[in-house]
Amino acid sequence: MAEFTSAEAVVSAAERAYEAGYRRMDAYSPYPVEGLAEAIGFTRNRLPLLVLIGGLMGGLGAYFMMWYSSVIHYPINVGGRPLHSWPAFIPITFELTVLGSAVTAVLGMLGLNGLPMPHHPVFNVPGFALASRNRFFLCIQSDDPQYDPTTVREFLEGLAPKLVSEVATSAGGEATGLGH
Amino acid sequence: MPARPGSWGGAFTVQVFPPSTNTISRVSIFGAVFFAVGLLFVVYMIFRSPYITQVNVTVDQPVPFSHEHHITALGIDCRYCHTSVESSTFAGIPATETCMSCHSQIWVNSPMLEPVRKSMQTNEPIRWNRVHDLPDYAYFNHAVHVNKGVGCVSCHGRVDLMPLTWKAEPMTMEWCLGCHREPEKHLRPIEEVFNMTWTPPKDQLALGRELIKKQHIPVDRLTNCYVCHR
Repeated sequence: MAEFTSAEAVVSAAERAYEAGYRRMDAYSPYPVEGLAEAIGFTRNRLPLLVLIGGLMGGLGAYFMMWYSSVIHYPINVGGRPLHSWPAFIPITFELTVLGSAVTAVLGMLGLNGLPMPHHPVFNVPGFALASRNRFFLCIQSDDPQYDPTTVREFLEGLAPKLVSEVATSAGGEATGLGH
Repeated sequence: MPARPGSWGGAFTVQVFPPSTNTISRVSIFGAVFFAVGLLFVVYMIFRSPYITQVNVTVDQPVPFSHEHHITALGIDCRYCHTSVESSTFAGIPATETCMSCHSQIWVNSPMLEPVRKSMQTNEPIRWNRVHDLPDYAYFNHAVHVNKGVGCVSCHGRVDLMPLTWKAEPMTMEWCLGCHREPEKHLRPIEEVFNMTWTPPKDQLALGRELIKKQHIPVDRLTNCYVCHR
């Protein structure tokens, strides 16, 4: 894992690592850095599709709920409106679409990225707490096909980082699985 | 690893959380969802249980009156005691005089019947405990059900087999509406209303539809609010 002091440095380092053929890597920054996700090869995100499905389920479920209760289950004359008065169903349909999407967005994000993960091997790296303050990290994972401790360390040092360190997996710790 | 100048040094090199917290945090998030769903289900089941609805729960009475004995063993018709059931909204609980029409002559020394004799002497009515008690904002009319072909058994169960009276049905609004929506499932010929042992024929639905026409039962209006909550 290499530590950088600027966002530009970690983006160009990630691009070079990707050109060098490394695929299983991850980058850590205090804020979203434009281009960093693409640079480490993280280009496909299934969350928008999940949110669309969640929103559709919320909306269709809401409309079905209202249609079923007012037309099938307990039809009742309220104010002389037709039983299937669809304009009155729209606000609830809209709101439950938003609710379904938002809940799917949060839970889908947690499900896809594996969070919450209070324990992670990268936290073993000295000074990694700065990853949420003012430092940028690029980590090449040991499950990469090209991984070799010596060559990876040489490659990372060639990127002119502030510091290169090895990520110790803690006893009983799990393999890094963030992203991808 | 030496302390790095200008950094937080070694203070943050140790993991704050042990590995088990990963599992704990994920399980607790998804467990919370299942817990909430399970809790709702349990609450739902409690409100459907006899604990709330009192179905099949016998109620203590000042006199342990046995419907089983008076109907099955003696063959007394329902209307001998519940006289107003065909003409009034309230089926009526018999007065002490009704009991005494027989018990002034038989079992006159029975200690079980002491409250009845006392009631007769003091002119104080017996305080029977109600088994079927609807909330007072729901208006129920016995006569219209009896006269349209809803048998006693449909709502009160096999009273002729009850040594002490209990609720056979939950008397919830959902249960009432079940029959108001589909009365053809429960209707019987008028002459069989007070028959405790009548069993529905195989073509109950056909019979029910025929009775709906014959009795002019307005099925399309039976679930309106004003029918009960007047």
